[in-house]
Amino acid sequence: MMLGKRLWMAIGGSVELTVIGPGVESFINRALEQGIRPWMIYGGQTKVMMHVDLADARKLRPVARASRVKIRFGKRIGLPFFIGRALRRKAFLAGFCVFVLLIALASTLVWQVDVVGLKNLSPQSVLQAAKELGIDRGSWKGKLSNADELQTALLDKLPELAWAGIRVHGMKVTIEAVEKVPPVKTIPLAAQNIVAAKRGTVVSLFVTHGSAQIERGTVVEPGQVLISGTMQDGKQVAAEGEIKASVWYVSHVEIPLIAVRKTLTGPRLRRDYVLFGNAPVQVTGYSAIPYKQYETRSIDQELQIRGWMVPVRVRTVYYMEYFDQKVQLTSQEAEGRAMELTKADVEHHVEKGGQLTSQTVLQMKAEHGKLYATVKSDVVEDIGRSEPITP
Amino acid sequence: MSDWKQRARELAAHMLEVPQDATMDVPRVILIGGSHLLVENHRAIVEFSGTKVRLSLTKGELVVEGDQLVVKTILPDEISIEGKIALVRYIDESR
Repeated sequence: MMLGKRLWMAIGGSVELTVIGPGVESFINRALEQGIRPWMIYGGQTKVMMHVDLADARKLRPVARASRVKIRFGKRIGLPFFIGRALRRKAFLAGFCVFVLLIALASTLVWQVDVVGLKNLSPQSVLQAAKELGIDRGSWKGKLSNADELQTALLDKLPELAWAGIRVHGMKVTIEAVEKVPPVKTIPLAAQNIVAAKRGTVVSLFVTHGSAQIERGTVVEPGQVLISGTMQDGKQVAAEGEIKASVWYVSHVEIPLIAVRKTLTGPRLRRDYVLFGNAPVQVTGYSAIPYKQYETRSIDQELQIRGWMVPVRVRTVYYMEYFDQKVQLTSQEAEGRAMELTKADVEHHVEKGGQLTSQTVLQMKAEHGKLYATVKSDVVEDIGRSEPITP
Repeated sequence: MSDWKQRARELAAHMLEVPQDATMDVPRVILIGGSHLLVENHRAIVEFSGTKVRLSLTKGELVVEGDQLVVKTILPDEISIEGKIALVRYIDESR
């Protein structure tokens, strides 16, 4: 109540009052009866200072007369007086008007131009184009009223754009731009032949440019022309196409018949860390790792508190004991491994997109604790290689 | 207020165990530290100076003495005084 009252006083205005005479007390009591609420009453026996509401001030004269005291008004406090004083000062008033005018003027100008939605085009080029159309920092907003026309004009200036939108938010202009998807560029090719890169049997051919020199089932040698860039009428084009051929690879592999396997023994040790950024701080598991051979597995967890991501992670590391177990491979297991090894070997040589169709063991021999195998792998792959035609 | 009314009120307050100040015109004085004094149910201000304030009550008077006494706010039945309060004396004239 107090604050509300004080605030009201400040807005409504109040007057400092000096009451002189022996009837000060009766003056206060009579004032209270009249509904006047003085505050901050201080002073001496016959001269008392107090504050009253501006609205109550003119009711005080009759009260003072009845109590036989003299009243004198002092300082006047509050917004009404402040405004009154301010209005009397010409320079202040002029300054205030200029200020209001400036703010009003400033708010009709564009203060910031933003470009959003660009992918490849630089914002500067869009800003430059906008500037030529009169959308720039400091330009008058009134000019932006017909946004449709400006958008069309902007599109004319920037053919790279598929769409442009101009929005005005207060003193900020946002240009939204959507770029056209650039057309796929075709590279003009020089005249060329497609020749075989590897020896193989043609399985399928798909010619887009040029004339095929082979057919399905042809066994081709490396360097042999598969698609010719020279047409029958002597015109030369860039031959293009896909020639898939069955190519075989022979791999020699050796597999040790005794394999060493890591086998976990069971015991493990746990250590917990708290990560601040990238700095781990160990929390648990200070004992030394008692294992001769061990494997570590580390699990990181993000810490979340009520869905808020905390820049602290928790890392748990397990140290697991293992020993090397020697295992005698059966011949089937050894063969399986040989095939796997072959596959990995062949994949090194095959072009991308090649497909392993079959694997055949040509020879297998167990000797000195190892399995020696020769495996033939058939792969269907694109064997075409472009070669420029030299006149 | 007539005598029988006053007595009836006193009796009611007593029987219902309500604090007396809630039903009757008795003053309620709150002194906070030695600097704030709040009096409810006063009747009028009898004397005011920087060193002494006298308030009339329904029955009797309340005298406040001190230094640099200021009436912060005054309402017909409520007054708050601030300053260096040295003495608060209650004078019941009916006794």
